[in-house]
Amino acid sequence: MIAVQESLFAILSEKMGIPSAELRPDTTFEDLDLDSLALIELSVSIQKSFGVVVDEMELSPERRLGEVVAVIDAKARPA
Amino acid sequence: MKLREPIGLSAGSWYPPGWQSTGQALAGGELDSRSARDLGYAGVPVATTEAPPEMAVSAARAVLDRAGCPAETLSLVLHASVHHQGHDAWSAPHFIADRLDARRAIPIGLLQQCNGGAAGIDLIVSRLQGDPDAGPGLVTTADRFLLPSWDRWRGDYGMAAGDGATAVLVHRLAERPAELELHATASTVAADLEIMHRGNDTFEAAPLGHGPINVRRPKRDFIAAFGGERFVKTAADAIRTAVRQALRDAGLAGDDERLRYAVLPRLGARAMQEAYIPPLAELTGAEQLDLGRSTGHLGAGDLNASLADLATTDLLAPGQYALVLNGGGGFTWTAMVVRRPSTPTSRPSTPTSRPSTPTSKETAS
Repeated sequence: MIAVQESLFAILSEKMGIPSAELRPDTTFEDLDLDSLALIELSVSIQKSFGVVVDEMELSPERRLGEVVAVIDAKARPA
Repeated sequence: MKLREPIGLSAGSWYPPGWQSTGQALAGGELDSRSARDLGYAGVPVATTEAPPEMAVSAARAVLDRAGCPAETLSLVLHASVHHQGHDAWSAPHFIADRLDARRAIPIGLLQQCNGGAAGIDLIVSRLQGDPDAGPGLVTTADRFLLPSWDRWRGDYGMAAGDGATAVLVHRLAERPAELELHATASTVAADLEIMHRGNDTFEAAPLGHGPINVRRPKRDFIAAFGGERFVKTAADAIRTAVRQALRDAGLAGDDERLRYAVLPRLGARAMQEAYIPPLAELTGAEQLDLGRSTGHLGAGDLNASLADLATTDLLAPGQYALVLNGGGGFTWTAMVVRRPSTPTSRPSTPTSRPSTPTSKETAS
């Protein structure tokens, strides 16, 4: 989980330009204020980095980054 | 395109009696609540029995009747569409011309994606300006977006597709009274963005070779390869250029009080807020008019449907202008400036079958 969180935060800071200080597990997507193309871009980046699809619709405004980390971790874990 | 003199327009739209509300789509699981919020549509017309070329004929007949324009005087019948017209290896434009008895018109199909209707008006204006003997031209658009080939709610990002048809008669002002005068039309293009609708897909030998139409897939490929910012920046520059040129050619400043409206395309509310409204608001403080909340995105017909609404309602007072903006995959953007004639013409006896409910927002600029 820690590795997933670090990678996700790296995508958000390096690719999306969000200051690292704003990235915490309880940060919501509403806090990040990403436009719809940025959310698609994040979904694409998650797919490239983790090999799992988290549809941009799952990145809803009320969703916390920690929850997305858990979703990625669950989807990436071998069944 | 520089107009030597204003061109007359008469415009109408035709919508099927069927209509699906966003609430019905939500209840049926065709849409999620967040997408519904982002799209901001009340609902969309649905044509289960009417084929697109038939809808185009209905829209065109009403416009020709209102304008008192005999179909045999038409020099061109241009038909723009995005999706399947009902038959393969067949000419929908010829069907439309035949049903209208437009015996001398050359029928031509326009496949320019969602700006096709606007391109049709441009082409007829060119014809009228280049050939003094050319009769008026007619542009129709028509589409329907049905499963299994097109998921109207989820087939693309930032819009839901509505079914319907439009018709715009483009004529010399000296020929007959106009419902609207076209004072300027300006188009810009970014052909390098065609890949947004192709992505990494291979060229196929048969239609729908990639399965049902899903524009989200190639757009994700595009964003993975180039990032979303490339589109946003290119679109903003292109919209600014088209709007600036159209206003200049019409002799209007962005804050001219005669410019009553800046009319938006019929995309989802959030997509317009992110891609269209910022560059538009930079150049004009005219009230933004959104006529698409009850129609959805009409394929090639958004701009033409808005002309129809301006032509068949009292939104514009005599002497007032509107700037009408549109864009389409490829990509192409068009801004047109139209004016309600100072001398009122007779009011349409056959208004659009489902007038859009206008919503507007004052811009901050």
